[in-house]
Amino acid sequence: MQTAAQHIIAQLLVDALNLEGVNAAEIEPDAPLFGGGLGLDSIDALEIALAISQKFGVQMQADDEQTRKAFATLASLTEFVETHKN
Amino acid sequence: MLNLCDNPYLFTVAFCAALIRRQTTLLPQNRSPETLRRLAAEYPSSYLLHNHLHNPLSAPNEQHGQAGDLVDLADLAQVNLNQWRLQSSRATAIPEIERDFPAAIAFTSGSTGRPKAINKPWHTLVTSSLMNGACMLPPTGDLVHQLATVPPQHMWGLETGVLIPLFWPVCVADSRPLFPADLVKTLQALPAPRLLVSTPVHLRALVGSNLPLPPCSRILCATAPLAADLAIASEAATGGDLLEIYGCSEIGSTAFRRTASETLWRLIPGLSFQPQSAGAPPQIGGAHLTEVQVLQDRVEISPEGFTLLGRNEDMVNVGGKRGSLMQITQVLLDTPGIADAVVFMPEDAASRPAALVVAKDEPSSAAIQHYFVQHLDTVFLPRPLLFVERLPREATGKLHRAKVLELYHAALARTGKA
Repeated sequence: MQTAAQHIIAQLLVDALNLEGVNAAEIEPDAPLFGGGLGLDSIDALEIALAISQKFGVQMQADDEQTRKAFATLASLTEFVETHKN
Repeated sequence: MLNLCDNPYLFTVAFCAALIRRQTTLLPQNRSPETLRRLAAEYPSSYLLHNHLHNPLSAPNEQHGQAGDLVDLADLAQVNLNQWRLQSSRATAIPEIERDFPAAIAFTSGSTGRPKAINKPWHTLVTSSLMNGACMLPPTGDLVHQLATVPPQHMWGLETGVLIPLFWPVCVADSRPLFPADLVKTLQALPAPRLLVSTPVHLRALVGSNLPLPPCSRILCATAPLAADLAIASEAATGGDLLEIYGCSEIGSTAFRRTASETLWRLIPGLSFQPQSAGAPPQIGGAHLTEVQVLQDRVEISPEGFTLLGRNEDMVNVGGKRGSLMQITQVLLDTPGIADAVVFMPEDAASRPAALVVAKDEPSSAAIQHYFVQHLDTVFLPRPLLFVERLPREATGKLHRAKVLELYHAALARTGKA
């Protein structure tokens, strides 16, 4: 089950990436975001980073080990945003 | 040699080393296992060089064995340059390379949907690099420090990130950052004057991030049409002028304009339109090209330059990767469980192709994706991919765009997102 914070991020993913046919509530918190069922790629990572910076003022950085971990799952992405947002 | 190095420095070293040993560099369009298998089969003595990717997305890909990893290519010799201790040796004389040596082969989606090999003899790369540098670099002739966000396997990335620096005073940042914050940090680490080589996708994210940017003397942007307002915003954010470059894999960089203030394109000096009969597709020639090339776009030529009138409708460009709608459609049609499919660019959101699909036995989205990434790059996976009962085919089997769009909007409305 998604937490409330995870649901907000899940909805942001669906909106930012135009994931028609994907219900935000059904994105598994611990399933891999990339290379998994959603079929996301590096352009999506850029779109996600842009959406997150605009909505939460949090900048993603790839040379940062934390970002790499953040993109693993919905749960880790949510935790990253929660930790870093203003 | 299949050069999959993601790191600009290692790519360049590998490219030059291959050149000295008279080995041809193959530039795969993507890293899908199917592409690599096909190239290995077509060029049986080839081997693969890579550097196991600093790409933030490679880790999850590797973990879960999806597209992007390099496993399961048992017949193809692979060398990971990160496992080698590369040592610099004292420079010897600049090597003499025969002018017709096939230095590189680029691949692009042909009009038939089959990838087409494009030979790049050494003299073509040398002359085009001299032409490109003269046209694209700031005119002062000073050493510039360049950051390129484009992969070297793409012609745009090869020309700007690898070749221009071999012939001009350009110092290249040894990384290819993806996220705006990384890009800013890398740019800040570079001394002025700075040169940013990018694409509309990357620039949009960079400008949209609202991060303060260090001044750049020049921005070069190519691979997909750039909106004038994004060009203006990019110039405002960096204080430099932005040249948009129009090109194709066959010719390489072809024309330029300052998109913030110009609409007309000018050919890069050294290229010229060939005389031709009225109504025929435009053709470009140049002394360094092996043959006259037909442009993918229709153009209107005036004394001061030319206007692009629209792309050959089958070709799409997603994140700098060129694909064929026909080829994408073919992959969907070959997917188990799919009875019929049409892939098209919806008029509103031009960033990705969309698809309408008729299912035979309700394949799951995951199954479709799994099959797709085995055959084509993930960026071409149509989004949205909507299921419909049937496609509005004419008696001849033809599909009219207007009817496809009508059905698309109806199907989109049903998902509650229109």
